[in-house]
Formats: sequence, C-alpha cells, structure tokens
Amino acid sequence: MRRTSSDGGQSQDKFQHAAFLLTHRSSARSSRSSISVGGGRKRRKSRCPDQALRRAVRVLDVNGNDVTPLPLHRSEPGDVTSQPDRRLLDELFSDTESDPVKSSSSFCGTSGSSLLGSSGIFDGPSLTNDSEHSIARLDTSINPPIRGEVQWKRDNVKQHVTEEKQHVTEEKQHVTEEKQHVTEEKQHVTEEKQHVTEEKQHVTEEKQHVTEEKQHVTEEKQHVTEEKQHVTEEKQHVTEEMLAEGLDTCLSETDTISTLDILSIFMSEDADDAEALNERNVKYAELCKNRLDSGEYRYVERPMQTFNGALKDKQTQTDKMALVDEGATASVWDIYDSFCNQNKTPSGEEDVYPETTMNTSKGQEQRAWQSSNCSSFSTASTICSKIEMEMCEDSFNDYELELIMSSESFQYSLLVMERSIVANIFQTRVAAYRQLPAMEDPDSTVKPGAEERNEDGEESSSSPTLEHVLTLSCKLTRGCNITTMALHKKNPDILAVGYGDFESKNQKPSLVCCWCLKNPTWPERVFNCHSCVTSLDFSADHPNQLAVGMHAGTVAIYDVSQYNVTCIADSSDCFKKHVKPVWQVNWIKPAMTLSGEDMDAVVSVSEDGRMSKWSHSSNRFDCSDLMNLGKKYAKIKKTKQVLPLAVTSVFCVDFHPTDSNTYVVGTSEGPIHKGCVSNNLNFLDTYQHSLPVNHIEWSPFSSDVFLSCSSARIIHLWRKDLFTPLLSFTSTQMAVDAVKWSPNCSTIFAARNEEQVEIWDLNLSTMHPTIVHHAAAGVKVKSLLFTRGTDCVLVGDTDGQVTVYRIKNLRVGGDKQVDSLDDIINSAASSHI
Amino acid sequence: MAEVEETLKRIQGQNGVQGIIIVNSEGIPVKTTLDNPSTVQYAGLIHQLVMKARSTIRDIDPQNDLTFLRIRSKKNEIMIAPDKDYFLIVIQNPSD
Repeated sequence: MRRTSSDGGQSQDKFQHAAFLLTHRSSARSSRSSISVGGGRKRRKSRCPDQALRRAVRVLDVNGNDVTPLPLHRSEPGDVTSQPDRRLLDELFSDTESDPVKSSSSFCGTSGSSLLGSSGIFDGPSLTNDSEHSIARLDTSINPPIRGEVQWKRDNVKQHVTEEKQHVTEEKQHVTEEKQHVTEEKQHVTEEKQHVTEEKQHVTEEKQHVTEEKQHVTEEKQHVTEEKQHVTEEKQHVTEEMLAEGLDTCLSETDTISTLDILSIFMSEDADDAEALNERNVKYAELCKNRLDSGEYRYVERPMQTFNGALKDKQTQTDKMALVDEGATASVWDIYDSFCNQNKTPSGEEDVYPETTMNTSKGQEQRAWQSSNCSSFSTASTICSKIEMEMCEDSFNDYELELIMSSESFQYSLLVMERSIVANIFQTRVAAYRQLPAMEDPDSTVKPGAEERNEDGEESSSSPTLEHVLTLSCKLTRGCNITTMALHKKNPDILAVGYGDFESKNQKPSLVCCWCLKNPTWPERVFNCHSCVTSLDFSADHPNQLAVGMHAGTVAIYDVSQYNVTCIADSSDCFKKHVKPVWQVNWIKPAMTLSGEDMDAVVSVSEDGRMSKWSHSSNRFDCSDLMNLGKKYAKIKKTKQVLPLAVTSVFCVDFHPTDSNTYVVGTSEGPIHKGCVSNNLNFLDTYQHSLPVNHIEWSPFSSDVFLSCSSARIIHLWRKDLFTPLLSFTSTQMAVDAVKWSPNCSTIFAARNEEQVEIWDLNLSTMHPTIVHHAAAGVKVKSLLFTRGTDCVLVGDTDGQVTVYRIKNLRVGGDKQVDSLDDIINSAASSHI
Repeated sequence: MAEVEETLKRIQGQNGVQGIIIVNSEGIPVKTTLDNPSTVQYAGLIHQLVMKARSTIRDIDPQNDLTFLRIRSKKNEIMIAPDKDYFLIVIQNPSD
C-alpha cells in the first residue's frame, strides 16, 4: 500500500497525507541519522545478538529496492544502554522492514508525531530528492550536535507548516469544504503542534535513544571487540589444536631495492678524454696508495654496516649437450686379425711406424670392407642402385676381372667348383665307384620307371660281371689310342693316362693326361710329349713325379704338381740314353746304394736290351746299366715287323714288392730272368719260357709268386724257386697283352687282350676266367689297371676312353688272402711234381 | 688366362648349370652369364650370406676360414667359392 503524492485521495486524506508527508519528511530528515542507525542496529541486535556484526543486513522496501541503511555512527565506549527501551523500539521497528508504509501508518496511528520512529524506513518513491539529500547528509559528521539538528529540523518543519498554512488560506477561497479544510487544517496544525511538541518529546526521547544507541554502539563495539577476541581466541584455539597442520604462505618478490649503484664508465682509448681519464685513474691509484702510507691521519677507518643481501640460489640452464652413442662390435676374428697384423711387424720402431699404420689401416680397411659390406649392403635396393651405377664402368671392370681371373686362388676356386658341379652330376656313379650306397635325390625329377628298369636289368644277372661305372673321356682324348695307364701311389683317385699311337707310321706327339676320378669330364693335367708314350709310372717318394717312357727311347720325369707340368729330367741329352723304345719305366726304391742316396730311381727297360737305372742328380740325368741283355742275343722284336737284330729286347720288368733288389725281367725271346740289382752281370735264375713275355708281375700278396703272360695266349703262374710254371691259364686265341694282379684279393688277377678283359679268380676256377668282358664294338682294349681300394677295373681302349668297371657279384676273399693263394699254389705244386 | 676361360666355358657347359657370377670384393658382379637383374640380386644377397657365414666360422675359431659354401634348395644348388678378392657363384640344377 502506497501513499503517493498529496494530489490524490480525499481531502482529509490529503491533508493527512500532506501532513504525513511533511512530518514524514521532516522526521525522516531529522531523525534519520540517529534512529535509523539505531533501529537498524537494534533490529539486528534483537534478532540475533550473537551474529557477527559484519554480516550485511539488507533492507528492502516493497518494490525490492535496496534501502539498506549505511552505518554512520561509531559507537563510543562508555555508552550505557538500557534494554527494555530497546525492546520497545525494536518491536516498534520490527515491522518496518516488511511493510514500511504500514508501519509508518501504524506508527502514525499510535502517535501522530511519532513519525520520527518510522523514519527508519525510507519510503522510496516519496523520498526522491529528499532521500538522496538525506543520504548525502548521512555521510556527513557522525556525531553532529543533535540538538542543533533537531532544532533546525524543527525550524524546517515550522517552515513547512507555514507553507501548508498558506496553502490552507489559499484554499479558504473555496467553498465551505475549504473552511472545513481550514478548520481541519487548524486541527491539523494543532495536531501538528501537538506533533511538534510530541516531536520535542520524541527528540528528547531520541536523545535518550541516541545515548542509548551510543551505549548500544559501544556495546556493539565491545561485542565487536569481544567477538574479535573471540575470533582471536578462536584463532588461538585453532592454532593450538592444529599445530601440525601447515599453513600456506605465499611469498612474493618485492622489487629490488638498490641502495647504491654506480656504474663504471668505459671509454675507448682513442677517445679524446681518454688521456684525462687515465690521469685521473692514475691519480686515484696514487691516492689509494698514499692513503695507506702517509695519509693515515687524513683518513679514518670507520666500519660501516651494509645490508647483507639475502642469498639466493640461482639456477641457470645451458644448452643440452648432444650425446652421441658410439659403439663398435669387435668380433672374435676381428681381434685375432688385428693381433696378427700387429705381430707382422715386430721389430724396428721408427721405420715400422708408417708400416704398422699402413698395416693397421689396411687391416682397418679390410675390416671396414667386411663390416661396411655387412652394413652398407643391408638392403637389396641399395645394392641395385649402386651396382647399376657400377656396371657402367666397363673398362674398370674388365681390368678388375682380369686381375681376379689371373689369380691362383681363382683357379683353385674354379677347380673346386668344377669338381662340385661334376660331383652333383655324377653323384650316383661316383658313389658306385667308391662302393658307397647311392643316395636318392629327394628333389630329383627322374621318373621312377626308368630306375626300375635299370634295377631289373641289373638284378637279372647275378653272376659275376663287370659293371660300367664311369668313363673318363674328353674331347681332347677322343679318338686317341691309350697306351698306358698308371695310378698315383698316394692318391688312388689320380690316374695318368698316356695317349699315343706308336704303331702308326706318322709319329705325332702324344698326350699324357692326369685324370682325377672325381672329375670324369676333364683331365686335371694335360701335357704333351714329343714322342709316343709307352710307359708311365708315378714315383712313390715324390708323388708328384711321373716317369714317362717314350717310344723314341726317351725317359723323362715330369712334375705334375702344378697345372703347368714341368719336365724335371729328360734323357734326351744323356749319352747313354736308350735309342730304342722304352717299354717300361719303374720307380724303385734302392735298398742300399753305395752313394747312400735314399731316393727312388727310375729303371727303364728298353728294346735295346738294356735295363738302366736313371738317377737324377744336380741337373744330370744319368743312367747306369743294371743289366745288358743286348749283347748276347739277337732276337726278334716284339713288333709285328721282323727286324734282324741281334739284340734281345726287354719288354717288362718287375721288382720284388718287398725286396727291391731282386727283379724279374721278361725278354722277347722267352726266358724270364731273375736278377739282382747289385749284380749286373749275371742273372740269378732263369725261368724257362719260350715265347716273348709281354708282362710280368709279382703277386702283391705272396712274395714267391709272379705271373707272366706272353703272346702264346698263356698266362703262367710261377713260383720263384720253380723254374717251370706252376700254373698255366689259357683262355683265348689271342695273345695276352697284360696281366695284373688284383691288389684287393690275392686270388684274382686280370688279363687282357685286344678283344676282352678277363678276370680270373683262382678260388673259383683255374681253368676258366670268372668274368669275361668283351670290349665295346669298334674299340680294342689297350690298357688295364686295377684300382686300389675299390673293386674296380680301369680299361683303356683305342677310342681314348678309360672306362671304370666295377666287379660285381664276385665274392672277395676274407682275411686269409695269402693263405688261400698259398693253398692253391701248394696244391698246384704238389700236383705239379 | 686362357685355361681360366676354358674352364669357365667348361663349367658353363656342364649339365644343369644355370649361371655363373663372379663378384668382386665390393659386391659388384664383374662377370656373369645371367641377366642383369638376377645377377644383381644374387650378388647382393649372397654377399651378405657369405659375410655372415665367414663371420660365424671365424668367430668359432679365428684361425679357421670359410673355403666353400653350398646351398642346396629344392630347385637348384648354389655353390659359392669365396675369397678375399672375389666370389665365384655357380647355380646348378643337378637333377638334369
């Protein structure tokens, strides 16, 4: 409910209203300062005396405008308060907050002039400028002389009243209502007077109130202080309770306070003032010096305290140091290599240093080469790019290629490679040759049907036979006639084959090839001889040396260790050389010689009937005749041609396997002589034989027995003490060209003629050969050899092929090899005589 | 020199030989009978393998050294003769 301006409403109301307004205003003006404060305070106090004073209490009118009274009065200590009065006033003022107008009206109702009390309320719209003015006034002196103010306010009220009276007199002009109004006004005036008097009373009351309020304020102050103490007590209470808890304190840096800062001045020496400055500096230095010495009285030392600045840790930050991990791997061989390279130059210090550095650098290069090759070629793509670049440099590559290919190690690598390749190809056959079980290649694409057929064919013949294993042939040797073969003494895989044709008219230079059975496609060594080779023999002491006997009568020794075969000795220049074909060369180990030499020598037998021993010493290849048969006899040569000569040619000789002093020679006329090296004049024994002996051989198992074969198609088995053959074997119609004992079995020997190869096993039969193997069509068997270690036979033919045959299904005797042969011989001997 | 050429020709003419590559010490093929990309591939890969193999052998015993390396696979066999200055690589199909 609001009372607006004095224009509206009834006249009474109006008057009342106006009066109310007036008084209200005046009262508001007059007593605002004091009562409002007190009221507000009292109000607060009545409601919640324990609350902190700092709590803001807001006063709002009906419209919601904030009309909170601002604190103006400071309570002074010593103010005495009276409670009951306060309570009355509180009750009076308690409603003012909710409905200021109502309370004011009620206040008006209670006491007309007690508008002062209601002045605690600021009626918002009614107090426009006045309120502002009053508020402004509130800020002024806190303890104004109250009386003066009240008086002034009373004066103002009086002024207002007079103004109202004027208004009333003006309104007297109106009708009787105005008179009534006047009378009413008069009444109002009287009422106002009463009000004024009441106001006076109220003022006095207010004074009391003020004093009370002062007491209140002081009380409040005390309360405040009490509360403060309470708070501080609470604070102390808190700190005592919670000593362990930490308090967060915030430190902030104050500005740096410089107490003294005199910067030094730097001047260039070229400046104009430099000299003056220097002089000053000098003077100052002198002054300092003088101060100590003479000017002591001028200067008094006096301590002075300066601020010790607080020390402070200051941290700086530097650039991060770049760390690089570096590592090297030293493998075992790397360490070993560098150790070896270091040891290569042991002596000499200064001279060696550059060498060592070179070596180490070389070693480093090697290692770097190895390691860089490991690391730099880590991806194939990099290799591709690099290699494609490099492939363009042809000339450099060619030069490098030549370097590589001319190196020895490359040739050796080629050799090994070729053998590996060939071994891959001939794996089964070489395994058969070596009598190893042939492993089937699990990845091979050969049809199993073909293998079965082979197996069937093989299984059908269970009788002893020669099985073809390998063929040593190459384009070099194709078509050449094989004349002789010899196996290496130390390495049973190496075979020397002599190719040549001495029966034809045109004597073309012949070929000697050293084959390795590991590579049947190409010989390892190839060399030519100027004349047709008739005999070959490997040395036992010097495994590299190959003695060659030629058709021209030359005896030569070749060294086949290197790829380029060199001729160590040649008898061409010898005075006592053979001029007739040398039919056999043998290396013998001299049992005892006068000169004490322990080397084996070549013994050659030639068609001129001489058997000479050749010795190679100090570039001289000389021979000494062991036996000369030529003088005595003049016989027909072995060749088909019949030449009238009075020389007995010696075709073959064989030295005793254990006693190298004795030998047996087979001559062209028939008798077999047993001779002794030491005795070169006479034979020891002579065995009767009628036909030319082609080949003679001691048995490797039994030292008393030797075999001989002749053109008479008969093979004789002799015992050295019997001058007639012990056993004779005949098989074919053709002359037996050679007979060889088997090194593996004592009772087996092989015989060959131009058509076939016969293997005789004396255990099985002495009448017939056990195996007869016919040569292939168109070729003739020219050479025969047993292999050592395996049950194979080497057959050389006229086509230049050396065929390796395996003796199959032939039961080889057990341990009693010698005994078996001896039994046979003994039985034969017993039956002989 | 001529024998070396002859030997190479002989090897090339052997049964089942698919190719020969000679690689120098840096891993660059200097002579080959295969086509270029295959050669490059073989050279690069085998080079690494040989280095590893040699390192293995020498780690076990520094006085030992690798002399020959054969790799048998389902389809063929690669034979490598390594040396300080070169590699000799031959690829053969031995079932022929």
